Amino acid sequence: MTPEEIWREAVRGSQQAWGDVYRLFGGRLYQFFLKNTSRPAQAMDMTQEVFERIWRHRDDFQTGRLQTWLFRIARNLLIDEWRKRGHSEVLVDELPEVVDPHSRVEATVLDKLARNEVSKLIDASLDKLSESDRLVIGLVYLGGLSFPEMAEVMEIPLGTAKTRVRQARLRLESHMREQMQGRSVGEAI
Amino acid sequence: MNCNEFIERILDHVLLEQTAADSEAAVHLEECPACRERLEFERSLAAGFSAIVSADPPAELTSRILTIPERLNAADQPVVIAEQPAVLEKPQPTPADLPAAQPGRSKPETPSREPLWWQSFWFKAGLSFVTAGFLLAVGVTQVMTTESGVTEKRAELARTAPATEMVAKPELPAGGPAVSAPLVEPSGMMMAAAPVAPSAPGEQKAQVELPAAPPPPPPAFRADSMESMSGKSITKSGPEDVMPVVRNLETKIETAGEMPAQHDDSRMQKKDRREQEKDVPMIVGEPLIGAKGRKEQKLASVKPAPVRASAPVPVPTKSLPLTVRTAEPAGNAYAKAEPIQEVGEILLLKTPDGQKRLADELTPESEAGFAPPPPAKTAAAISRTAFVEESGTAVSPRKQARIEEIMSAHPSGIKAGTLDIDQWVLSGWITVKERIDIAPPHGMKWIALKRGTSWKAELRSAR
Repeated sequence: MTPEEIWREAVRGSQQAWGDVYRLFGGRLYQFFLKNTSRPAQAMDMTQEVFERIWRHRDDFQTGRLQTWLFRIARNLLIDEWRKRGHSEVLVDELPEVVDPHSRVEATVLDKLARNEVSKLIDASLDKLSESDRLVIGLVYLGGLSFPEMAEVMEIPLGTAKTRVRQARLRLESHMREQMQGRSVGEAI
Repeated sequence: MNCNEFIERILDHVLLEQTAADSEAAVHLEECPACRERLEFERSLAAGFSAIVSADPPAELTSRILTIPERLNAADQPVVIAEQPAVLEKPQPTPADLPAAQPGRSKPETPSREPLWWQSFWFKAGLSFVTAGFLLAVGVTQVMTTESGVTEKRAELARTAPATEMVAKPELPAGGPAVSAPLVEPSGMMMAAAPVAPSAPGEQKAQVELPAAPPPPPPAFRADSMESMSGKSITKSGPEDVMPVVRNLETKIETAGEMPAQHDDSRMQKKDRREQEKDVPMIVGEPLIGAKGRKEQKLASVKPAPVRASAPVPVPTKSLPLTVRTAEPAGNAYAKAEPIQEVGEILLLKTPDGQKRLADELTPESEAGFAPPPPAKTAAAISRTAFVEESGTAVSPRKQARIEEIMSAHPSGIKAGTLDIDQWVLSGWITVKERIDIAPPHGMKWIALKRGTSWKAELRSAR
């Protein structure tokens, strides 16, 4: 059963289907908001707002992917939140190359780390990213959107979406490398 | 597949395993150890992100979200009053299923979200309709009452006023103020405004005893309304004297159907006025009237002649008294014609042959002299009146008036071609720059037409 079919069941009144929709996307949305706001209470409120909106406007969703619809609402909520906080960062299409694309985290090093440690490493690196980079990484790697879906959510061309993801990934890996180096130095000391 | 293509594809984690399983990518992976390392790194990264996402959200969030349909449906559901029939209850299948499927999640509805019965839409709508209907009924009743009251008063006064008039006439004193007042045919409005005759005996008796007091001073105005006539006649006569005559007069009216002719002073006045008008020599006020061919000559002789006004002489005319000033020629070359008579603003001349004719008696071949001749269609005249909107749609009256105003103010600046109206609008209601084309479109031509007292330009086919 696809997420869209589950959603239609939920709209017909099935509480079970509504719970399935939450289990499919609730955790992703919460983590998406949590990594972008770093405030659990606010992430909860915003996740709840997303689900309330899709229920209020349940008749508006006819075609397309449910995941795209959900994360478009989430992205708009996040931008609204940024505006409230006076977020002034400009999202440009062409970002300058700030990271050497050939420098990357050694896979062998990552292999030695446990999965939860990789998660912590990603967490720490995400905190150092800019908001726009976090938004892109959150949509693609936390939200699970493909590049075309991310482009649709961000309302940008596909090529621009790929460029943004690549730039954000390079910066993320740079921060991960710094984290790894700092951890190695700490372990050595 | 090269390294760039491979890395670009595995960056999309949705396609990560799919890309790794691709045969073309597998061939490249066997040849490229760097891409193999990159693939492993992406797998580790995807696992790390997956671990983040798979973390359970707070239980509080779960409970809040799972009750969203129930809460929102309850908020949208209209309130059902216990006493009302069940027909008003809107069926909501969703909340009916929700508590059964997930027991324990049902959140009690907050009372503040429930609209009370006097806050419901139907109650407000019904109250509004009732109020509007009541106000409408009150208004209609008022109008009908007023109309019926006026009609009754008119009917009552129509019965009493003529009789009062006839009775009052011989009773008036010689120097009374209303003797010189002409009797006017009672109209509806006048009768409605006239005071109702007192019916109480006490009031009439008190008014009869008034002659001991000094007589009232004569009014300074010309009393021509039934108000003064009826009031004074009843005061001088009395109900005992009036009523038999009223009955007699009513009988006469019923039999004859109208008032006798000898009592209709207003008709007599009209007749006398007509006879007087016949006796007064009629001044022919159409100096420019004549047969075709003599028009230009009259215009040349009359138009530039300066006149010197003398003492005004009242002259009766058909309906209104006019003031005629006899003007003498000033002695120039243009004023060698006969003395000019001027009436008001209209320049009058006696016709050379002495024949006096009214404008209504003109023969069809005659032309009205007051109307200016149509403008000669020179290039300048055409350019003054020629205009069209760039879009080709009809010109609105406001815009046409403004264009004519502009053209009359700047006759020399108009040329064929495109013209911006906004150039000349320093202050006015035109705020947008409008562009008009002075030259007529291809296959069209401008013609001047007189509409009423003004000239309008219209596009017509050149054929």
